[in-house]
Amino acid sequence: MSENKPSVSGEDSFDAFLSANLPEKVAPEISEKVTPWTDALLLILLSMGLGLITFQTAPLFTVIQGSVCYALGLLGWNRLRGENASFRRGWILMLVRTTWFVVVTILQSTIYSTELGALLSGDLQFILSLAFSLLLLVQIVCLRDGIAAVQKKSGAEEDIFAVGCLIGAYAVMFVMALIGAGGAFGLIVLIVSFAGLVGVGRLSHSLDEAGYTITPSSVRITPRALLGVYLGILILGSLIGLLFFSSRHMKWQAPAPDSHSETAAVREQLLSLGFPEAVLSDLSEDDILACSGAVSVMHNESTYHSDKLYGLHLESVAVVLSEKPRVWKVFYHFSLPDIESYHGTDALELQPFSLFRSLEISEKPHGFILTGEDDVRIAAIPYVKEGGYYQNINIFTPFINSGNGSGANTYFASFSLPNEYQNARGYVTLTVENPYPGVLVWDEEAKSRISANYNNGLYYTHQNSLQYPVLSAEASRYYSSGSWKNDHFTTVEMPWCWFFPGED
Amino acid sequence: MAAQEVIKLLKTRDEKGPEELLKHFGPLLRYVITPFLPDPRDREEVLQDCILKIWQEIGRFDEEKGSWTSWLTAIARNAALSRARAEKRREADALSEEEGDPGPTPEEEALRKERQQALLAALDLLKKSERILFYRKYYYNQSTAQIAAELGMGERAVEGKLYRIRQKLKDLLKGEMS
Repeated sequence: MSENKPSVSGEDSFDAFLSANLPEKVAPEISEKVTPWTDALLLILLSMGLGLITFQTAPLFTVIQGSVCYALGLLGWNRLRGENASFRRGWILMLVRTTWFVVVTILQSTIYSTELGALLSGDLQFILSLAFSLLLLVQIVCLRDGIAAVQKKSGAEEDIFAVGCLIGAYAVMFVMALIGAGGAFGLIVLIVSFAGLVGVGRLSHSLDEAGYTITPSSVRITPRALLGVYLGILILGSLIGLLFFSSRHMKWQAPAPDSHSETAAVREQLLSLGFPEAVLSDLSEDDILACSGAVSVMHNESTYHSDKLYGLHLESVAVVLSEKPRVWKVFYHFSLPDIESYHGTDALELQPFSLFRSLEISEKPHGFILTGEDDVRIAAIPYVKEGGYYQNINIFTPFINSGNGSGANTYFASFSLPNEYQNARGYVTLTVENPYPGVLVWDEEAKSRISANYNNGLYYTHQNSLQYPVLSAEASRYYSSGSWKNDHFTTVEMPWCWFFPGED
Repeated sequence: MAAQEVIKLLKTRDEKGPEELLKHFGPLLRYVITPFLPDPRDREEVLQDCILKIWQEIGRFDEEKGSWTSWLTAIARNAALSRARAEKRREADALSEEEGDPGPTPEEEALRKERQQALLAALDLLKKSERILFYRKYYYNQSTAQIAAELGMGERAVEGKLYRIRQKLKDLLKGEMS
């Protein structure tokens, strides 16, 4: 038989051999794949289906889900964009939505996402959030118009009922988001949406079967390159954010020596009034001088122990600057246990009204953070903010639920420590007028009242581990997602932060 | 209208059958025919031939033996290929006074079937994506540019893949046939 075998040498003769010996019919797996509808629409439908599911309890998983969802959408719309103007518009909308997703995702690898959100009013955020939901709705309208145009071009009747259902379901979801509705009706709409997606899936199959072709777009960038660029920007941007922008920039320097002649005298005076020496040695010269003429000193201390933060020590010191009117300069000095590897941010949160029943803050809180014993480094706490992160929504942290913040009259002293540190401590100070307004006489009854009612309003939040999405320590107080927050942050409500004369 | 309904109309010899066939599956037939025939008039004639052939041959179509799409595309492809070959022969005849092709002898036909089996066996050893690329090129006669655009690939990438597929097939067929 071998004498009859064909020669397979030479490209042309081999091509001729292949062409001459092809089978009469091809397998369905080939014939059904020869027109490109199912693949393109399947990518878009998977993207939309994935976008309908939300996983509120696992933000990282939600980000991965979102990344896959947008990748599929990009690949699908990229295939269709050359066919007609509607598909091209859908592709442009996909690019806009993907760009927004990438920006938000990268922002979430930094501590600035919630802060940017806080810069925008709740109403503006709400409008922006709805605008981006509307983009998706418009994109589905583009899908419907695109399919209708293809059918019209082929001389067939319009068959876009399934896409119409999908538009209806998304429009209802949009309205529900607008009025804040949900519940069982939301579930029904979700089911209708999935039914619509299945319907469009069947339509894509029938389009393929009927051979509606797609005018291919010029391949300036291949799907693999498109996916590479998208994932590259997303992953690289997030890594840069995590490595360089997930903690606060601190200007560490050696402590400045005293420059005023009276500083030593004020130190001596404070020590003689019972100011704890360990705290005093950490104070800035300006803060020491601000205590000049002190009448008395009240002091309290406590140590907090937990698995993730063992040995957080707090000393609360009130320097009485004046009895009538009552003016106190208060110091909250904390020292942290040594931790081998630290990432992220910590924050001390003060609620003056809870602490003093007074809103008269004549000197707003500021503070310093110090590390080291012999080679002490000091940095001003760069970020002491008044007001909580109370927002109804935050478009820069869409994967995390925002909760009720404390609103005004809350101060956050937020800072970061070096990745490795020893003997880290710091303090925050503020001057309060008319603290404990109901207390006229420092008797036992007043003491029990103060210890019972003025013993909250000071919180220390420590970041235990790396996190994604990134929240700053203060933002973590008001944003949550199931148990996630607790894994990365430990918040301690500091006890023994009240003051009473002679209570050392 | 689903494929099932069109098949039913054709099988029951309903006069609406060819009309519905053309309406719903005309685009697919055109899609298959186009790469073989550059002249639009030839394409339309072949399309009409296909509709007629499907109408005549629908009794032979057995859903259990093969898919509707495969059957349709095979008819369209064969019709287009025959027309393209006829056109080539006509051009060649015009240039020479040679006799027409008498067709394959029984021995040649047996040999062709044997080769076909060998090629099918080799194709089965390729990945599905490679098989699709191969059939687009050799069965559906699509240009590299069309394949590249429809699969969202660069033309050079398509050429590279086709080259590798050819090399694989060469190896497989050499082993089988030498």
